[in-house]
Amino acid sequence: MSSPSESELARRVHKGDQAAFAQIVRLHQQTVFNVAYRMLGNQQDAEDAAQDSFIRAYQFFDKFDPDRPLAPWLKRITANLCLNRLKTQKYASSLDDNLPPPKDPHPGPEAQTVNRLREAHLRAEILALPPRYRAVIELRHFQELSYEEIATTIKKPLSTVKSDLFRARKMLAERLRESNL
Amino acid sequence: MKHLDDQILNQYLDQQLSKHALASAQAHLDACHICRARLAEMESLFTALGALPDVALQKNLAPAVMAALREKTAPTIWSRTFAAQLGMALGLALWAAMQAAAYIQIPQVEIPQLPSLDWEALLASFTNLYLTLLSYEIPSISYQLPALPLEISTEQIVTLTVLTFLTWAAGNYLLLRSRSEVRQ
Repeated sequence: MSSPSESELARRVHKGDQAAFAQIVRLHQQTVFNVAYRMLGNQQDAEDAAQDSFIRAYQFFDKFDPDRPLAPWLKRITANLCLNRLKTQKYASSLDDNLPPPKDPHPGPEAQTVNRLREAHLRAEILALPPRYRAVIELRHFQELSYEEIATTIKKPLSTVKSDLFRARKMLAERLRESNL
Repeated sequence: MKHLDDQILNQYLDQQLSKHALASAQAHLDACHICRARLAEMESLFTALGALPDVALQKNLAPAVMAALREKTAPTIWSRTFAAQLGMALGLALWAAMQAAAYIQIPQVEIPQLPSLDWEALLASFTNLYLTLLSYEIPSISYQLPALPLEISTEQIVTLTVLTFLTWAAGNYLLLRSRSEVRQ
């Protein structure tokens, strides 16, 4: 028996089928969690934000077109939720000291250590960016949204989005250059 | 030689330049090693960001999400709307009663005075009071409703009131039921 397609699950959710939504959560929780983790830098906070993102998605599910892919919509909700949290709570991010193992481990213990250090450093530099810069980096580089889509998602003018994105990249590039990584 | 500004470099990498601007930028990059170095640094950042792997989620979020949703969507009788309507209905009923009180004449009832605390006398008094209450007849309350411009009988008014109440109750029931998102 083949598993139901995403559109079929979405249609069931429209009719009030919570079991179908539970299936959607299981399918997309890894992706949603990673969006939150990149923006918040902390495992526990990212899990909480991911849960809240799914709850918000359910509350607004009647506005979602079931013929469209779910992942981009869920990722945008998560990015917005994390951005609002960062803005309102004057979030002091605490990057996990012991990062969970990456999804695709690299071969060789030395190479693995070096790569993990590089990844940890890059994550730390992203988290050191102001929240609005973090958001545009997430939406452009990890969610591959266009400038216009980013502007619509975070409700900012197009010129502001471009300016923030270019400055964020410049800051990241300078910091990474200074640390020679 | 004027170098490419950051905006052009970024849009070049994002493939957001028009054909003409792209050709112009490409021509400059072919001739300028400084801008090529800046571009390479930006490309290196893009590559690093693109290569950042996902982190493994340590637990299944579905049970907690579904538990939170069940709590949020549990039906409740005492919604704000229902409470507001009930308050208004009670207020209206109280106002109507106060208006009607002007037309109701309740006869004066004499309440017998209890004697001083003498146990035998007290017991006798309570016995007398009990017998009095048993034989007490509730006086008939006479009232006269104000003359309405319409010719509607009391029975019709009562029927109309009862029907209005039933309609209101049914409407609220249907409204609360339709708001519930829990499916068994």
